Amino acid sequence: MPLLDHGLGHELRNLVMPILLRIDALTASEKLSEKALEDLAGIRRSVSHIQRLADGLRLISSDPLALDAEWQVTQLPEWWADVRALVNDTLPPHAFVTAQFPEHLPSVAIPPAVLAQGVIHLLVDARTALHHVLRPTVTLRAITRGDVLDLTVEDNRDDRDIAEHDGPTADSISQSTHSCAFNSAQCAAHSLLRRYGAELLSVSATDRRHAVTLRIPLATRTNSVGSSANTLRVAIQLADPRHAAVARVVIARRGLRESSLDGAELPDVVLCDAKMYCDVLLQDELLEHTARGARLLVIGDPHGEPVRPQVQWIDPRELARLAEFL
Amino acid sequence: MASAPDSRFSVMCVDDNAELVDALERRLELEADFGAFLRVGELTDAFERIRATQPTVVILDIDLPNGIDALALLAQVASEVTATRVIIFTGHPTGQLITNCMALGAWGFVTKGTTAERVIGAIRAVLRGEAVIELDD
Repeated sequence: MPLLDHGLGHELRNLVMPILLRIDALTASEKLSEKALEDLAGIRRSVSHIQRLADGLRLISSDPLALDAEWQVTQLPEWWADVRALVNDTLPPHAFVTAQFPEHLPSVAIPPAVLAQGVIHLLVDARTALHHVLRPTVTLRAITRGDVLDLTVEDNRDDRDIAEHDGPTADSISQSTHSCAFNSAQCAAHSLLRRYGAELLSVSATDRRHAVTLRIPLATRTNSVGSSANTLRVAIQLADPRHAAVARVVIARRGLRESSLDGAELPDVVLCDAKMYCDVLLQDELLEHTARGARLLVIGDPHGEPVRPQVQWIDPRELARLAEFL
Repeated sequence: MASAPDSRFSVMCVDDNAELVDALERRLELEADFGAFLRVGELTDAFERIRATQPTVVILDIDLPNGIDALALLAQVASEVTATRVIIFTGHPTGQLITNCMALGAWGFVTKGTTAERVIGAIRAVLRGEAVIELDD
């Protein structure tokens, strides 16, 4: 099945882009009536929905062990837009599904595909449990707590049986082999998520309320102050626009902030290239920043430059792993 | 960068998806300074065609059929047809692939799950001399 899902997702993506490009071309035509433009807008919405489905299929069919974790952080609202249709299909057709995510949620350090597969595992379990419920509801809630985000998947199954087994205070499935044995879907989700530092934190089961909370580390790194309000600031001083583009993507996906060397807020990390660092005049200026506590990451080969504890060299071929050095 | 005297830009799309190639041409025709859309014919002849026509931008699908090595093609274009700038188009982006492509000389990296506007935006950015990476959200 994963191969089929993956192939289908790939083919849908190949299909969607030409349609969207053609809709653009048609919409620009001056000969179209208002009615025709409305029809085109409707087609665009439908095709965009297919694009979301294709993205969702890609997420649930990706190999969780082969993922490029450093690059694949998850922004929950966008992730939900991709997986929502698949989640609906996983549950009974009359289920009412909502997601309650506060604004400005930070990214979490888990690939979207792993999170999708973990949540789908839990919902497959919910599908069976909700089968005889008259008005099944499933709600996803997210809240940040320090450097982690708690994502709770809650439904209104009649869970008295589970409550009799575990009781409402069963607070850690990771420490409860009994709970794992009770629900293999939760074990599968736990095992998948644990590879990325996340865990299935709790299962609370009471009459008509069954909730599982996933605790996931935030992707955003903070500076020495340690508060999420103090996101790490990175100054990019790279002459090669391609290196700079890679660095900007890593910084953005990690939820870090780009800053300048002469701005009001001093950078926590300065990222420069070897040519700049080896320039005698510029090196003094760069080292001044390290004296103020910033770390200096230099892209290139050290070529016998003296070792300095605040200066770290990165091989340009290792730029994909930049997030590990930040 | 090679460009016609009137500063119009040309694009070649090296992709086995004929629908995409045709649709991209139609969309690019909306751009006021678009000059020409160049066709490849046989994908195995892509490098010769690029060298002969020197398009301003090449959109290169990384997953070409019949064992054609798109990364080798990228490296060859980057080193021998320096007037042309290559944007990589793929459905399966990874950090290492992006870094490899940029190191081999690509100026852009666009995933197939992105929007049509962002594909055109990526071409525009590369025309301005910027490197661009457009990934799915």
